[in-house]
Amino acid sequence: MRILAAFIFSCALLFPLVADAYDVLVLQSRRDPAFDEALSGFRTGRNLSERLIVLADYVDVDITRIVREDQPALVLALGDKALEATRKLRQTPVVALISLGIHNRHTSHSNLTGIDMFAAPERYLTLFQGMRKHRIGLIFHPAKSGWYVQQARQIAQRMGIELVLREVSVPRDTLFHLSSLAGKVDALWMLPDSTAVTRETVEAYFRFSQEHNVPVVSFASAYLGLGAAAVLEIDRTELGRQAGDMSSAILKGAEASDIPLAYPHRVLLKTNPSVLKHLGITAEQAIMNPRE
Amino acid sequence: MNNCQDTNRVPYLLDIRSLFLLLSRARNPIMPLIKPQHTISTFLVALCLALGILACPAWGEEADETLGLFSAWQEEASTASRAPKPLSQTAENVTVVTAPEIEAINAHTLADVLDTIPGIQIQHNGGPGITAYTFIQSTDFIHTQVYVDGVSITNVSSGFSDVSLIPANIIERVEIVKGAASSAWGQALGGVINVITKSPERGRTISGTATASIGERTTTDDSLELSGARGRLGYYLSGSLLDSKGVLPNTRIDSNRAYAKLAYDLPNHGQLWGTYFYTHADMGDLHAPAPAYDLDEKPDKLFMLGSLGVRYPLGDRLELEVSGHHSFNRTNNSYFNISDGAIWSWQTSLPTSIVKEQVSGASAKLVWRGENNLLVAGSDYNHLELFNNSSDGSTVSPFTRRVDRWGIYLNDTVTVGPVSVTPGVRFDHTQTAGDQFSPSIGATWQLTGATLLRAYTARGYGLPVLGLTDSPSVKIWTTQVGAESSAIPYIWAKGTLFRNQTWGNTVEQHMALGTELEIRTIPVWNTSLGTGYTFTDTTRTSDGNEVNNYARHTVQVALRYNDKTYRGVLTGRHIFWNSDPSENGHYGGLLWDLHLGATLLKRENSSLEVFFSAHNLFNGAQYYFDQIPNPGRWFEGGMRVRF
Repeated sequence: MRILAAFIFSCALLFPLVADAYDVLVLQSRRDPAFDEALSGFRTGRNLSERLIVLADYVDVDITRIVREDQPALVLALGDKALEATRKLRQTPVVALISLGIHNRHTSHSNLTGIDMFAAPERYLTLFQGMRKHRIGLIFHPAKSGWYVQQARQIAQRMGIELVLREVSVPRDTLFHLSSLAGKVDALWMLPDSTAVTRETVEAYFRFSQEHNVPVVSFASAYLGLGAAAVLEIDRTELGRQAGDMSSAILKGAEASDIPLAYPHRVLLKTNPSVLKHLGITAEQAIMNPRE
Repeated sequence: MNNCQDTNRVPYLLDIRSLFLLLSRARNPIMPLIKPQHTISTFLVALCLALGILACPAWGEEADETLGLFSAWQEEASTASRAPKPLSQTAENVTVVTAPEIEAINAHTLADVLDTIPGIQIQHNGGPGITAYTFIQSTDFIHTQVYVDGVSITNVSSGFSDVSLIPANIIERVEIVKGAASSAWGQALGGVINVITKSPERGRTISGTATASIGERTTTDDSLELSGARGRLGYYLSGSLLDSKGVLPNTRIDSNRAYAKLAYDLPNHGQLWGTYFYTHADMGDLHAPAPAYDLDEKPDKLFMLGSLGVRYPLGDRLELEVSGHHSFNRTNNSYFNISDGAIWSWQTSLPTSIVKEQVSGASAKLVWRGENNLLVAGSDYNHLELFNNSSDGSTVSPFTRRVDRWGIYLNDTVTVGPVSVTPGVRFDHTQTAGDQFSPSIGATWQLTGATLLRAYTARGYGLPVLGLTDSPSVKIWTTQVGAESSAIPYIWAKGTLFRNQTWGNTVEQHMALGTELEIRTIPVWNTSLGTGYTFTDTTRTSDGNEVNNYARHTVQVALRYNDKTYRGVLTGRHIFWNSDPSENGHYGGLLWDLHLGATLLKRENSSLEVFFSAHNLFNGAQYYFDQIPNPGRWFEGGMRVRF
């Protein structure tokens, strides 16, 4: 017994104090190139120690317990599930990326900051201005994108653009509201709103575009092939780099609550020439914004 | 174990079910190792494990909503599954159950939750809310310690922790340590079940959940939860009523429960909190007709627990946590003859046995987080007061005991690369059963990204029930080795071998050798399968003969479906109780339960859900003792509104 006790105390007190802690706990919803790009940007030029946990790899993973025991300086959450997994964390700073839920959650979680998946509204509105479109149809869910639409409306007013807004609470309302926009808009603005744009309703936007000869401006290049005239796509690597800057500030002592949510710094304009040509819009008009 | 405890003293100290258990253990029959039933159970085990292993390979997984939206749902490529690493670096055999899993099985109480955990055997005396006994890896139920937010709810006068008193709706998570955990918790020979209650919902001033269910025999479970925060102050409140005319005859229940938690965030990541837990249950617990017993038992249980604590960092690496608690536990057990309503023969002159317990205590803990080790030093103090209106089963002599117990402990987790070593020691002064020294040491080794090895050995102790006279403690030396791996794609598997040597001055030395195996698949089309099997061979050290009344085989199987709108869980469980043949136990096949749920309306902050449960689908019989049969097939359904 005494030998065992001596051994235990030795283990407790005399083990070599080799540093094995880490700065960042990276929570990734699943394995996906989009997350890899963001993570590579996050790592660029930084030498932060990290532990990576891919939630989809696990039957069950207890983030609260891991954070409690590992005590990382901050958590980088990539994706919706990763953000959800950090819901119970209240002390450890969380920087979230590639999730549409950041904005709503940010108001209630002072330890959360991150980068939205919306390009700044003036970028879209400048694009519409260049296309000489002044009545823009926009379908959105108030709880999910209301905050963004409110900002967009203020900027649009200053720029002389009218936003024709339609609120939806369930996806199937989208079809009805699209038909109500016929003849009232000369462009459609597709927002990353998971109620307004769903697998079932997305084709209706482009059908509307064809039937009424109005361009659809979307948010990801995947929609170009479906019929979008132009998209403003977030540069994921730059998104990660931007998150890295936020994280560095936190690691240097800033509070997460002092770092506001940000729009993505780098957004790329991509167009579908054949759709533009069909709609009678020149590429020059579409890419007139010198910042793109 | 406590086979040789003085059973003449026991009746008033334990409720009658405990009495039956102790009596049957005292008989100590020697049973042959091979029984016909073993063939059946072995077949069942093989079948369930085969089902687990032969699960279809997955080629899809649930996409992140945002990622799907930005890829126009074109990039949902399948990915290979990797082995889950352990939920923590703990070397002990730990299982964690979370609130979503609890809701999926429409659980009423903690007992329903534990039914599904490999390595645990639950004996129910009836339907929801009725007394339930918890055995961890087949150690005696009086050695299972149950805590709510770190405070024990175990009766000091009986060693019994009634997990049916804890409503499921207040549980955020349950952490179960299987095997002796005395180096951290003190008296914890069999293991520890720590219930962590829900925390205030931050970000909303008020939110909540209203749940109502109704089933056969007017079995209703209604609850209301409110949660929210304003500024630094958060609250969680819960009230619930569980009533039933009894899904088994004469096991009615009328119970009400309340829970409140207030949390105030202090600067510098500190926190101040207070909790209050109240549960009262008036029930019919046991109905054992003549000629065997001619007994009707009606317990009336009241338990209240209040706690207050503060956690505050004393520096970058050091954190102090101090808490105090007070609990009141009253159990009135009435025993009558069924035939004529007279006081049951064992209860001479006493219509009701009354046990009142009060525990006042405090705990302090210092946590130091080094770069590669986590050192925890702490102490617990408890002042116990016990009133019993009888000291034994034949005379009326009320007595009161006052006992002071304290313990100090030191636990460390040292991490070097992929290896973590967790040594621990604890010293306890029990006043009634001598001083106890409980060492432990364990290690985990992340062998590959997919495989983790775990080893743990510890000495633990269990205290005898607190009565008028004192008895020595029971000791255990447990050794467990195991591995977790998902080297097989899409499957997570965990295996553990355990060896529990138990002894004490009044207990024959036992050796329990066993194994635990868990297999779960990742979801395939929103569907996953999980199986668990526990085998324990308990023998008497002196002659090597098998000891009865310790479960030998336990099988759990669960098929889960969840697409976020519809959910379903089909569970099956089998416990080969291995009880004394004179108990006339019956435990063939599995008991199947089906739980269904559907979210009919879903909004940002609100939802409406309906659910339905069919218990014991095939009307199976599975019980330890023929006087306490299990409920037959019964149904219930309800709805839940979140706002």
